[in-house]
Amino acid sequence: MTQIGEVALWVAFILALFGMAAGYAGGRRGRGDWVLSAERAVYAVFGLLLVASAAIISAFVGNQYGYKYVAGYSNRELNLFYKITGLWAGQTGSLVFWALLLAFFSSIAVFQNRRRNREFMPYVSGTLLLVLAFFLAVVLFASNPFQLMDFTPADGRGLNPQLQNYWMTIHPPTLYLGFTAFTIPFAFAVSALLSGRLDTRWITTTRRWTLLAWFFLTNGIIFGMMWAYVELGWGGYWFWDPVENASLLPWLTGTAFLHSVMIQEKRGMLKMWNVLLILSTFLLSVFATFLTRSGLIESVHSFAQNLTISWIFLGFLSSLILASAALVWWRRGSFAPENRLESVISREAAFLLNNLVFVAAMFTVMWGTLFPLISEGFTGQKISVGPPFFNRVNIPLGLFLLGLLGVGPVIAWRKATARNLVRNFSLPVGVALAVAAILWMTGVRNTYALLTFVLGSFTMTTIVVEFWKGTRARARIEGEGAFAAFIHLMERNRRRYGGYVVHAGFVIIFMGFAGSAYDVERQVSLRPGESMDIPSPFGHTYRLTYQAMSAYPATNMTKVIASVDVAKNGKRVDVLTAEKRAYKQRDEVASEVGIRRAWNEDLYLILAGIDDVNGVIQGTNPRPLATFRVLVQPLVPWIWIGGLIMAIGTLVALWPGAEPARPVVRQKVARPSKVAEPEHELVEA
Amino acid sequence: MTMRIHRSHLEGAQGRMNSRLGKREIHLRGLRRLGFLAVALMLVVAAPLVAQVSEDQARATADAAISRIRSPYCPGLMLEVCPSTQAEALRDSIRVMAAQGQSAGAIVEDVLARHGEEWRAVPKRSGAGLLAWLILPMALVVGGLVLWGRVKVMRTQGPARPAEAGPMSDEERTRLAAALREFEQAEGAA
Repeated sequence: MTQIGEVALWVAFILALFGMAAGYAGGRRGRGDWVLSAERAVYAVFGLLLVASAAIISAFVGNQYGYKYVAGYSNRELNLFYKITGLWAGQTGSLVFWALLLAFFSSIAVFQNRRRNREFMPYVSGTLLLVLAFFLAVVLFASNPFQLMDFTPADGRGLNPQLQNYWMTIHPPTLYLGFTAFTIPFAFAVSALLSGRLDTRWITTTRRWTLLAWFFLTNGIIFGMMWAYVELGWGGYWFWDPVENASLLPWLTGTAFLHSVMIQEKRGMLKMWNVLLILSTFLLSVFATFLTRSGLIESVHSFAQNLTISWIFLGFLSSLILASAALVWWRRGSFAPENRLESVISREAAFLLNNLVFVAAMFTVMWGTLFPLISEGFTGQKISVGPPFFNRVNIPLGLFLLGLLGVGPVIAWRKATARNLVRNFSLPVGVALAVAAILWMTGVRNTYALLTFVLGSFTMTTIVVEFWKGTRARARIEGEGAFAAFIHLMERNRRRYGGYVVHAGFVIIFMGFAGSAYDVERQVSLRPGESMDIPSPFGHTYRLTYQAMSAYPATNMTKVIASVDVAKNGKRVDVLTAEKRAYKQRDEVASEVGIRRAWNEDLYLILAGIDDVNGVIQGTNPRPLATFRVLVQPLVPWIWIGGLIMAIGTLVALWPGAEPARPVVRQKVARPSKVAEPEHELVEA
Repeated sequence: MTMRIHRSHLEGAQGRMNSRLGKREIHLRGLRRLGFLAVALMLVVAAPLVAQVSEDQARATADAAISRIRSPYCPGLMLEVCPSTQAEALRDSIRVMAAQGQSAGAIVEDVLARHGEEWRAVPKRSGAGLLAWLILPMALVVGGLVLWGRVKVMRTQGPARPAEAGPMSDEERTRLAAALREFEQAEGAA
């Protein structure tokens, strides 16, 4: 099976190169047969990558430790589930997985467009196969999963303990799904540039792809936060780690793109800007992959340093940047706007401001992430940039966006009048001021927390009012009940109301972040039977009583578990356990935290140290001294709730269904290429 | 005699004065003692509070210092979250320095002098570190200027109004009127 897998990779690589050439040449020369070959090559590459991936998984499941990759990330005692997920546990396998997901999406895109958008498809297929060929080249020439060792060890090294977690099995695939799905709008943008069709067609065609990519990327980032929170055992969820930052970069430009395309769709403006944004989003996705794989920057997430991969990625990235810039320059005359900006007090202007903030945040995060490398390169001295820097520069931007979130969707297109502003914003401003007064009176003095709640309540009110107005109007006009009116309102314009739901989730996430201003932390050493108290910012006090420490062998590890009774204001409410796990194969110790979740706060228990761990394991010390780090983290659950709401909102916007009826006119469209296409076609007016 | 009288007078006067001064001194000494007692009492009463404040301050100072240093023992992690025992020892030593009254900035400089500048998590606002801080204002200023320039162009480029549509049919007129009624009703309802 593994030999078949390796052959499949080679054949896929050759086919990708052939298909890429056939696609571009077919588009240029108007050869439909070549274009068809390119499209079939996409399907074939997907099939071959499926075979290669199955071969890697079979090597894991079959304990074939002769393969360096399998021996490095598995062992006999490893759970079958983690053996299967071994495909993306390490550098080489994850590159194959990246290519597999891209080939999957590419096949869907090619299939969807087998009878439409034919003028785009030659270049779309060519571009998709170009990216696939690159990843296959990296796999075959720099990081081959089928590389054999000189000898076959009896057992493997095992999987990194921190990767043996449920969230870790779904976090990387979700993130990769986001990165790879952005390749489809990128390919269409390149195709629009090559074919010269820079109207809204490529945007309307890729609208759902962009949303899908954003959906996966957003969820991938949130899953990563959940993993960090439960597995890394420091009580945090976002640490401005270089790899975390790398995943945020395409998210920032992708989010900016999602907003700015609306201006092009509604008003025919910002054509060049939209092309630049989607090109940047894809390039940043590749950059994120490069940063994780090069090992150039220290991170808890990154793979080992691999200079060959670094150079290949840098070469590819540089070529893509140059080619993209050249294409945009070549077509610079084709981006003329169809309308003019009538007023700076309009939705267009609000979206432009939103784009400025997103792009500024992207530059800031990128600069901070690369600054250690840049400073070392220019001054010889490595200047580190840690979380406090990122918080200081990004929190103000985030707050500005939070406020803008309430303005953008409500302000009128083209030109907002004073009447429009007063009608739309009186109530939200009133609610925000009331919230500010209440929070101030209840003693909230942290500036950022205060601003988050005030701006968040402003934005949330605008969203609620939009739903209320729409539902009420529909209920009156159609004579429906409130619930039916609400559902039909959502159905009638899923994109708009789905967007509002996403915004609501975003506000809730921000409020969750603001809770960190009131974190309480204590570290104590206790003997069994002893207690410690920790206050909650909500007024109650937790008393934690260390009950006992036990140890027992489990598959692949030895667990040492401390059980702690939790009482809230004197009433026993829970028992938490916090663990230390000693993994056999890797000789590593990992912590498992205990979390008591409530709707408004988490009680987070970390077993920081054990005085006599050997005594505990051997059963000679029944009363070991244990050090606990305990945190009360207000509003952390809101981050996950907000993430869920955002996911639901995106699904609402994504869900296929009847779009609001738009007038369709018959219009003659100039032939952009020699590829067979109808002389007249229907385009949205 | 006169002299003697005088002297005696003087001595008497001095004696009386001394006696008065002595009484005042005794009085003052008493007051002073009372004052000391009051201050001592206040100190005794306030001592736990003062100690509490200084302990809280020391903890806040230590936390502030710890949050500005990357861990020399955990690659990629901050000192505040590094689980290694050496990191715990370093955190303890920082807490001791804070309890001795050192400021967060002084502690950070002290730790970095011993372990190396590369563990600084917040770049200095001088020298090469200043470049890190300049990026956001630069991005906003440059981006703002570009945006301003583009907005000026966008306000003059392109047709001011969408192209006039062709004449409407009777059916379209009816639909438009119905839609406008619906919109006005919705606005009125809101």
